[in-house]
Amino acid sequence: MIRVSYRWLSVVLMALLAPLTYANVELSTSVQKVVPVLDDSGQVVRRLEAVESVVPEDVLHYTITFTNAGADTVDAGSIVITNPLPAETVYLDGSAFGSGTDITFSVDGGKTFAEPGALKVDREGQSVPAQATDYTTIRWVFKPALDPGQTGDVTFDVRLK
Amino acid sequence: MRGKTLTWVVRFMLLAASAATHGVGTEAGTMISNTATVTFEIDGAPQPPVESAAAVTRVDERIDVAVVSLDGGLPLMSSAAGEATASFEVANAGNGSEGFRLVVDAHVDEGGFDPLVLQSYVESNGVPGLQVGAAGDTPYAQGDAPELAANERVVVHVVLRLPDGVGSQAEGIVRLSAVADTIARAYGVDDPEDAGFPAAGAFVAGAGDAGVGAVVGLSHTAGATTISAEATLRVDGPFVQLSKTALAIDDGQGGARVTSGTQITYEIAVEVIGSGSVGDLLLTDPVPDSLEYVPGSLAVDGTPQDDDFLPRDADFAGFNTAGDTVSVRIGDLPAGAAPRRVTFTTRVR
Repeated sequence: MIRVSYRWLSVVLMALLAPLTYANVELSTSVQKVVPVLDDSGQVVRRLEAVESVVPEDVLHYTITFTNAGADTVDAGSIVITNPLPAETVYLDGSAFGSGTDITFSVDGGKTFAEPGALKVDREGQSVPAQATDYTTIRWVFKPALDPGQTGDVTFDVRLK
Repeated sequence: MRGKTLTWVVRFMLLAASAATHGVGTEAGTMISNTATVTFEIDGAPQPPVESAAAVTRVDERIDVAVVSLDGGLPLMSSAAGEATASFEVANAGNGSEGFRLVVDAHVDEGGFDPLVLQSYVESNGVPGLQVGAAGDTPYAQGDAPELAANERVVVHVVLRLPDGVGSQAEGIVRLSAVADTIARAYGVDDPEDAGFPAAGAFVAGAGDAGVGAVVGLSHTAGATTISAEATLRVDGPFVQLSKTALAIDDGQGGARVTSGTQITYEIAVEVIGSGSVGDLLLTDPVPDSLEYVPGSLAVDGTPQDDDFLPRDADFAGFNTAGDTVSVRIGDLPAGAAPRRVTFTTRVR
């Protein structure tokens, strides 16, 4: 009984200490499904729904939320969020978004990043401009400082292969 | 309500596009995991990176099938025995393993006759085309749905026979459908004409591979087309087939050397293949200059005939000396009837 109590105590302590010691920025990821629907004027609009079911060709919308849960302000321009794309998905061109961020992409598994126009891939021995389907990783650099308690989020869409 | 209906319409379009341009896709049951990492600095000091918990999504099984006719869009001609084999390919276009019930419908209401369905076979012996027998393809039995992995395809042969009383050039249609077991069980439908097929995107919890959800693909919705394919059976001919053989060669000395005076007995078998019948059939066989007709040698189906021919004799069988031609009026001959055998003897000049 005593041993069990200690174990639980240590878990609680770690949970309490964790944000105090270093986790000034907390990060969470959530996923929704993008469902195209026709609005009253006959236009196709995107609607985000909870993920009940996903099959190939469905479009997923990921939201990454970052929060300054610490007591100190995080330096301007220092928050860098990196998201490797799940292997079973392809990035949807133009879908990455993040208020106050610079967005770059990688086609080499996250070794190098550049803006879409500057990315090249090797195809049949020739270096050609990369396409959205070549992207492996997305990176957001958040330009403002993040004060304690402040939060922000970035998003992107992929299509399930 | 209206919004919901429109949703389906759009999904329909998307599914149609995806089915046409993409393969089967990520396998049912796959876990799609997404994790982000953040690095940051406080007062110029880099802090340890923080990783998010993974957002995990499990891929459900989309139930889809594509049935195509392998007969190239051309009508199947019936063979001499009035039978024909229609071949189809059934492809599992979903992303999981699925059994498909084969449904043959010969009563396709588009005019024409209803072919008689004798038996369907699942190609299984590795030899293209239908083979029947011990080392042949597997006869399909009701309830014995072939199980196909994602993107796997199988060839199905359907053996058909012409019904009686079908005229030449008439056409009949046979349709093969492949109904996914999962959909058949969940919705109580077994035939594409059944009411009760769900809408595209409908979800059946737990019905997919290894307990994932099953999602109804476009092929298994009311009015869908890729669940079935049709083949047209056309009554061909009828065609007259002649085969001439030398039955006996007799050189008069117990041998078969072909020299002057050697007698050669020929048989011409006349039959009609295809379907229907040929009327007023007249057989003429000019005897070449190197041979001469042996008078009184003509017989039809073993019955001797005199040598007189039309118009001098009413039996329409004889030897026309003016044209050196054996002439036999066969008359009406239906397809599939026993061949009429005309025999006569010639002598080498």
